Formats: sequence, structure tokens, C-alpha cells
Amino acid sequence: MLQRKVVIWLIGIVCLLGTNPAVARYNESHMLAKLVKEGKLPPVEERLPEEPRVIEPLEEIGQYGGILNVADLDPYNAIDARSLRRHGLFRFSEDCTEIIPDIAKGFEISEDKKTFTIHLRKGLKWSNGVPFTVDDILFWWQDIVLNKELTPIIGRLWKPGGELARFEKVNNYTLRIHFAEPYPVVTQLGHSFGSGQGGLYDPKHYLKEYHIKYNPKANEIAKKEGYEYWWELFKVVRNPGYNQWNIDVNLPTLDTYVIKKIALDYQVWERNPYFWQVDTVGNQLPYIDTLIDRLYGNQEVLNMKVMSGEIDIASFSLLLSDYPLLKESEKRGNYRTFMWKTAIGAAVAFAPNQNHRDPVLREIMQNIKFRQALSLAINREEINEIVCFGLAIPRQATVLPTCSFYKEEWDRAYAEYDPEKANELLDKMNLKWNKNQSNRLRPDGKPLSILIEYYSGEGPRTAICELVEEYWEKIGIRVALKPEDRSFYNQRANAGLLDIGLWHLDCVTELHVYGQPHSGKMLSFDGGCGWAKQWELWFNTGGKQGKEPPEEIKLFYKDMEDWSLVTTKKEYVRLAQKIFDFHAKQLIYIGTVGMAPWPVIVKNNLKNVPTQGWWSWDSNFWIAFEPAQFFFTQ
Amino acid sequence: MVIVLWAVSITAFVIIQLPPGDFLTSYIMKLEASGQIVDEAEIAALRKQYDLDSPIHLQYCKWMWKMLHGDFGKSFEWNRPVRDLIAERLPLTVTISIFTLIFTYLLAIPIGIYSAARQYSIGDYTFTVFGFIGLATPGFLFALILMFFFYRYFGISVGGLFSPQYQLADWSGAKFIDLLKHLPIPVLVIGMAGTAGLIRIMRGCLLDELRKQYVITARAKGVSERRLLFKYPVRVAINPIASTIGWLLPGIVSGQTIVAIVLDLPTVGPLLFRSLVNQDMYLAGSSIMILAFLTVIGTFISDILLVWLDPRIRYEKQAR
Repeated sequence: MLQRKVVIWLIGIVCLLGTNPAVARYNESHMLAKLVKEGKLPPVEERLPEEPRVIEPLEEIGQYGGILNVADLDPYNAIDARSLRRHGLFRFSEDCTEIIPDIAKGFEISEDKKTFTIHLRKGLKWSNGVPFTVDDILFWWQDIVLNKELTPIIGRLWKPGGELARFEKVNNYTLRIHFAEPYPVVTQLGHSFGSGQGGLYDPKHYLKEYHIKYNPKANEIAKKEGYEYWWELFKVVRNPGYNQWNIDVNLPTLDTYVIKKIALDYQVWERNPYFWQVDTVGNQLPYIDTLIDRLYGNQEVLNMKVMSGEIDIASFSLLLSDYPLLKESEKRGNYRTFMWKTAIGAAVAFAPNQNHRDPVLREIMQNIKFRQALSLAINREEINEIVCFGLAIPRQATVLPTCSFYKEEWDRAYAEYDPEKANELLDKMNLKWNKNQSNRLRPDGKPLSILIEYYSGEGPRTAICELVEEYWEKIGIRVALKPEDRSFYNQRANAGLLDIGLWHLDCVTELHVYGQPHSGKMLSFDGGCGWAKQWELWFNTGGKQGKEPPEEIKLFYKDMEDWSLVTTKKEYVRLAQKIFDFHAKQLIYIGTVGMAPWPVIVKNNLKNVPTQGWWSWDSNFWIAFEPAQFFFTQ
Repeated sequence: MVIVLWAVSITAFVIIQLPPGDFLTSYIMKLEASGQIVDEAEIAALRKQYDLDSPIHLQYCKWMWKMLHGDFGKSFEWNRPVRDLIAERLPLTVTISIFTLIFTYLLAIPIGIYSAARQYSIGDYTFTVFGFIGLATPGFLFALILMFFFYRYFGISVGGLFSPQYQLADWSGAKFIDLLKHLPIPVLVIGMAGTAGLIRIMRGCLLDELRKQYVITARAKGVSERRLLFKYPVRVAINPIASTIGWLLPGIVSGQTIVAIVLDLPTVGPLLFRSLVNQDMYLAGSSIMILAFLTVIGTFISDILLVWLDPRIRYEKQAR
């Protein structure tokens, strides 16, 4: 009670003082206070930027200390640990409708969408105390992206209309990026991995030692380390942690935690003394001092560790199918289990190959009635009950309801379970039954059969496919399933060799649909399914190769292009709705269930973690929930 | 021996190259799985830098040349020298294997002798039943059952070799004791099948020997049963065991990969498995080469051991 009074009182003081940072007094972790006393670290006021980012704690002001134990299965996908510690200049809001400045103080997008201005925080420092300025961004652009050896070919993200972006330094804390065309991809910069270390900036003061432009001896240093060229070593030193086990222990960072130790099966991270976030009463964040990430060899052992309470927070490596198991052991493991939503439009979306090499099948697949029949034959409620414990949402493959241009009817388009109507549609297509009424026949007299090749990882694909096989056989289509290795499946999909492709439908939140023209799943001719490779080739080569698509597809393509160039909100919504109306009518993708839940476990004494949230790549997993304000009640 | 090793090196290299794609393909898939967009152009550049563009025989020559100079290459995935990676895992792997070996021999040989000497006794039947169960149960299944059992009834999470607080600590007496506490389960699981098999072999061989004439003659002349058993028959019966010691050597290093994966033991086995899945060429290749080398050495050792144990082999050679 007393503590709460003090807190309220303190909040009052902060409010009175307003935002004048010079007057604000900051607190710090005992661990750092000790170092300051010993003279090994400057006082906290000097370490924080003039205007630190103020985070409002979710439930209460936290306490310092503790070790956060995290578990991962793969050094490349150490997502839990990575998203608990990393930051970008910006991040997306949880529902991906907004860009929130994180490391940066703010940004502006010019009205013509050609200029993107970034404002940095004055006095913000790297984890070794060196100031972070526009030069670190320019270093990334000029000396890494524009360096032929480090970046032999520049990705299309930075070349709208084929012309390179232009970076202009206004002063140490202001940067302008100019594009040749109005460019929606600027919104994509909001993603915290994209605007994070290695994505938009790099520590110039540290890396220039290894760069030939700044250090003529860079090649010799590389040779000493066992590399042939400077750029080989440079890449190794620069890695900000795509493979978290490859990280250079001395690399400065702006992230919450700094690497201290790497062994083959665990890593120790310690708090960044120069971290630039504070809570509402001026405590420097993070609350938790240490993060330990353990790498486990398999799912069962990881589950076991979670269930016996050795892990404090976990999500990425958990499976929905293990939910009952996790829930059952809550008490013993002393944790809470939450069910979050995933920002996935469809756990499995089927895309009939409309450019099939078999002309008979191609004609069938291109027939809109056929796709409608396939969709109507799927019992989505049953899939939901059997595969997702009834917690997902049965829906058609479309964008998420959080999008500003969303229409509810898209969700329901041909998504009801109506096998009779499906049969009617197929009858109308003149796909007759064979003599003993077991199978429909193609116009050329052969039995109508579809081979579903699929990659069996990432989500409950096998379970859903097995159910769909049953549904489609009921309407007279012979179905065979063939699980494949991921690379093999991708090769087949890319070559357009599948009868029907399937993938999970992600990138369906507002800024992701819009920010990635022609690469977001629903706006491409591939989408992991390769549903129209010949048309795609036709568009990509300006009609020189591939097959000419029908008029309506050409219009669809034009709408997508126009959409990426709109400048008014009204136009934006109009075109978006036109595009997704088309999807709902055409059923290029046939959805099953979407927004399936995702298990999240949090130790009972770990606080300020929301009970409900979106678990998604789009908003970058934990980052959207400000993990620096998580804390342990001591 | 050199020729065998050379043949193995080629086979190993070819097998690693066989599946479609290479390390980069799986690397890119992983990047894409975590949502990053990788351009075609970037892929081409990476491929060039990893030297995956040059023809296979050139890659092979480069690899062999380096290996002859004691350089096993660098793991793509961990970005560390293969030598360091294996060195980090080797001590614990060898520890587990040696404990397992001791466990197996201490249990299997006496039981085998007992079963043969007291054939069709209650003891023999009991051991036979357990032996067959042991042989028939796959190690990983047994491991899963034990894991569940220990979690359910003792609240211990099996997996790994150290408790969390010791995993990060430097070596100390307490850490060693912690290790000893974690050892029984992996040793039991890994040793189970071997023990069961060994009991059967020991029993069978010994039974064969016991029926031979020299035993009957000795018994007729009044040699005590114990002396009779250990003087010759046991020595002969141990031969097949000695000749398979050579296979144990690579086993010591690879350390029962499947069981190690299930129990998440920090041994070389899972590392090798991962490298094969990810097509981490040098790590996989070098691990396989080391294993092959140890097999060849092991076979050599068991040959010598046999000659030493069994005078007949020695004399045969001299007679020729």
C-alpha cells in the first residue's frame, strides 16, 4: 500500500516536472550503481540520451534484478531471445497499423511519399559509450550497401523504379532518405529487424577497423584471423545476430542486452549500461539484469524444461498441439499459460495451380466454379475443433480484420460448409461421376485426381491436409497427399509443377500487405504456392516470356501497381478494397482456419507481460510488448 | 589403411553433396522462415563467397588439402573452426561412452557367464527375459519413457548433463558431482541394448565351449568347476567381444546419436546430425572422416587384441 502511494507520488512529480529531461532524476540497477561507484562507468544521467524513450509499464513499476531464462531450438531462429533483446529505429504497433519510433525519436514521410526523414535521439550511446549518430546510418549505406564487395548486388528494397535511394545528412541527428518514386516500402522500414542493427545502421567506430576504406591493413587483419579477404572477416564481425551463435562478443549494440559468453548450448547476455529506455518514474530499463538463452536439441526436452519450471518465458518454440500438456503442468512448473492470437490469415491456404502444364487440369483449375466448390466442401468448423481446440477462426483466406480497409464479407466468401452446393457447382461444370459413383471424371474421361504436395513443417499442415483430403473425396475428387522436404517443395512450387500449392497465409496485416508490393503473399503470383508462374513470368518480362494472362488478371495486376503509388487515404482504401474484393470473388487462395492461437508461457513471478496479444512475425514477436519492462517480483 | 580412409573421404564428400541444394539453400530457407526476404542476387553473392560455385572435385581437393594440414575447415553454421567445435563436445562424449562401456562390461560379462554356467535355471530365464526386452526396445523409446517417468514421479527434468546453475559454472567438485548425478540415465539408456546383446553373445559362446571335449575331459579329471570355467572356456568365449571392440571406438565419439538427441546430451552425435541436416559441409565431412579414422584404428586395435588373447591366431600365422 505504502509502495503504491510512493509510486503515485512519484508519477505526480514526474508529471509536474513535465518532460524537461535536465531536471529528471534517473535510477539504475544495483549492478550498474556498483560499477558507477567503482568509477568504471559514468553516472546514469550521462549514459542516457537527452530524451530517453519513456515506456509506460503495463501493470506496475518494476524491480531491478533477476535472470531471464529463455529456450530456443535453432541458432538461426532463436526468436524468443532475439525479440526479447533487439530493437530497431522503429517498430510496428502490435496490430501492425502504426509505426512507433523506438531508437529514433521520430520520423516524417513527405506528402509525395518520396522523402523519409529520420530524427535521432541526441546523446544516445552505443553499449560501449560511443555516441550514436547519423554517421552510423551513413556508414551502413555508403560503406556496406554501396560497397561492391560487401553487397555485390543491392536488393530491390532500395531501388524503387530502378533508381538508388539517396541519403542526405542534415545534421548529426537528422537524416533524409530520398526515393525516385513515391514508395510505400518506406513503411516497411518500420519493422524493427529491418531498421535495426545490420538493417539500417552499424557501429562505424568499431567496424571501420575491419573496413579497407578506413584501414588499409584490413586485409592483413583478416589473414591473421584465417580469412582470405577483409570483407569475409568484416561480415563475421558485423553479424548482429541473424545466427545468434555467430555473434562477435565485442560488437557494440543499441539493444537491451549485450553478449557476454557463448558456448555451444547456451549464451549469457547482460544488460546494456547505456540502454536508452526509462520507465515513467525514471528507472533506466531493462529491469532484468541478465538473459540466458539455452539451445535445446529437440522439442520434447524443451517442453520438459518448460514444464519443470526451468524456463521463465517461452513461445516461439512451443506448439499448439502441446497446449494440454503445458497447461497440465502449470502448477508444478510455476508458470501461467496464455493463448495469444497469430497474425496469420489461414493456417493453410490452398492455391490451385492455374497455369498447370496439363491442359485439361489447367482448364478445370481456372474455372472459378471449381475453386468455389473446393472451398464450399471444406468443413472449417470441424478443422477448428479437431486441429485447433476450437480456438482458431474458420474463415476464407484474406487480410486480418485489423486492416483499415477490411470488409467482413471477405471472411465469409464461400467459407460456409455446403457440400451439396459444391456438388452442384461441379455438376454444372460437367464433371460427371463414374459408373459406381465413387469418383468424378475429367472431360477427357480420366478420373479427376489431385496430388497435394506439401511441406510438413510450420504449423499443423499434415492434420489439416488429412481432413481436407476427406472433404474433397466426398465431392468426387480423388486426392493423394505427399509430404515433402521444404527445399524440395519450394523447388517444385517455383517451377509451377504442383497441382495445388499450399502455404500458411502470412503478411496479411495492414503495413505488411501494403509494404511489400508483389512479395506479400496475397499480392503475388507465387505466395509459396506457385499458382500462376507463367503469368508471373509474362509480367516480369514485359510479355516476352510466359503465357499471356486473361484480361481480369491484367487488371488485378494494374490495381496492385496503382495501389502502391496512391497518395490519398481515400484512393488507398478504394484500391485495396478492389483488390481484396477480387480475391474474395476469385478465390485464388482457399482458406481454412486463421488467427489460430499460440501458446505463451510466463513464469508466475514474471510481471508486466500481457495476457492477450498478437504473436506474429509481422510485429516482431516480443518486441511489440516492450520486453525491457518485464520484471521479476523479488 | 590409407586407401580405405581415402575411399571413405570420397564417399563422405559425395554423400554430403547428394541431397538437392547446399548449406546456403537451407540457410536461406531459415532466413525466409523467420520472415526475412532474401533477394536472388544476394543468394548468388553468398554462394560465390562460400565457394559453393566451384565444381565438386575442386571443392573436394581443397578440403582434403586443408585436412592433410590439420585444418578441418570452418563450420558454416557456427562460424567456428570444426576442430574447436568437436573439441568442445569431445570430453563429455568420451566420459559418457567410457562410463557406458564400463557399465556394459561389468554387467554383461558376469551375467553371461552365470547364464551359461547355470543354463535353464530361474536366474538364466530371468536374465534372458530382461535381455530380450533390452534388445527389442529401441533406445530412444526407452529414453522417452524414462524422461516421462522421472518427470512425473520425481519432478526431475531429464535432458542435458548439468543442472542449470552448474551449466554456466566453471569446472569444480560440485559441478562434477552434478554431472555424476545426471549420468546414470544416459548410461543406462545407451548401455541397455549393448548389455543385452553382450549377455546373449557371451552366453551363446560359452555354452558352445562348455560342450567341447576338453571341458568334459578336464571335468572328468576332477578340475574344480570354477577353475574349469575361467581357465579356458571364458577366454575363448570372450573372443567375439574382443573383435568388436574396434567398433566401439567410433561409437565413443559419435556417442549414440539418436539417444543423445532425445536426451539432449551435449555430445558430438547431435552436432554431426545437425551438420548433416543443414549440409554444413566441412563440419559434417570432417566429423565423418574422424569417425572413419577411428573405426579403422579400432579394427586395428581389436586385431592386435585378438592375437594377444587367442594364441591360435598367433600360431596360425607362424605356421604359414
